[in-house]
Amino acid sequence: VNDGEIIPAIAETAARISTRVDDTAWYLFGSFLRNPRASADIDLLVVCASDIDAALVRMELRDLCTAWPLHITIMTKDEASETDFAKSEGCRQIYPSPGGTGVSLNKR
Amino acid sequence: MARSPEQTTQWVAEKIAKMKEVEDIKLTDPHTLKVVRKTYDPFVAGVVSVEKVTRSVIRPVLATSRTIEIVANVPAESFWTGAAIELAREHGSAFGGLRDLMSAVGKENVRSYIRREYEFVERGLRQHSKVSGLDRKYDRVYLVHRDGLPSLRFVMLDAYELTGDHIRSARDRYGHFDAVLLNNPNGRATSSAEDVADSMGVGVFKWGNFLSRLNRCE
Repeated sequence: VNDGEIIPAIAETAARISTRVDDTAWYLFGSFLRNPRASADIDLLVVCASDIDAALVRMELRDLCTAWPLHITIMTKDEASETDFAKSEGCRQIYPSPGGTGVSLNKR
Repeated sequence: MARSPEQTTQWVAEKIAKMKEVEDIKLTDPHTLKVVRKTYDPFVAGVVSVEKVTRSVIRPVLATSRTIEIVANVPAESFWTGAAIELAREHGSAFGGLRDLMSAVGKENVRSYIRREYEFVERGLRQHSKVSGLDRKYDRVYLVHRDGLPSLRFVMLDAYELTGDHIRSARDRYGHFDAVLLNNPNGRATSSAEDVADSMGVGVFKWGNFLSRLNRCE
């Protein structure tokens, strides 16, 4: 088990959850993007359409959170818009995959 | 997706081994590792990986050796009960997560390591004129005993953007609380977070306002 497995694991989980919860967007941010080898945890942002969806996503993420040191921020679209968090934190979208070309930690 | 204790401890060891302060690292047990440092004495860390850290989780780990100086729980989305924290203290061990373990590597005395956030809040509360005592219920929940006023149970959350989900998750995890301390100096609560807190009948406070709140009954 190594750091390189985490991005596919998150993307796989996002795809699975998205079959039950419509219209979610998943991003990485924080120190893991800058230096994954030295990072103690992995910051993950999930933007959902509603509070109900946020609760479902939180529940569905429990197994993944036990396997990895994920630090989860879940926002509704209204909260994401209010805070402009994805832009201000330099978040990198991992699901749906931008352009459908997969995800690379080395590309910004 | 699940990992064995050995795999988790091995993964932690690989993280720690990359730190510049570390000379060598050895797995001594499925739940323990020995960190040999360049400047300071070596130390032994206990490693667990659960959502809720209780006494029954850490007791067998602490029982393996009196030399364990810190116990780290790997998942970031997890919490410690006050009883588990107390057991670690009785053993003379620090506690926390992977980030705490990595911070402790740079401290000469690992046993005395306390996360700066907790140290700051506990110190501030003990110096407050209305506070007569503190009971730690969970890692992020304290019951504050106050002179002439009812006790107040609060949760401290260290978010940059405090969301409605953060507050709902804290209620699921910790049960009732009377107030939320937003413990990030640069943090702010979203409108939705304020609404969720209102619906629970609790206020969200930054540090200065929280100290003032302790002077009031409601």
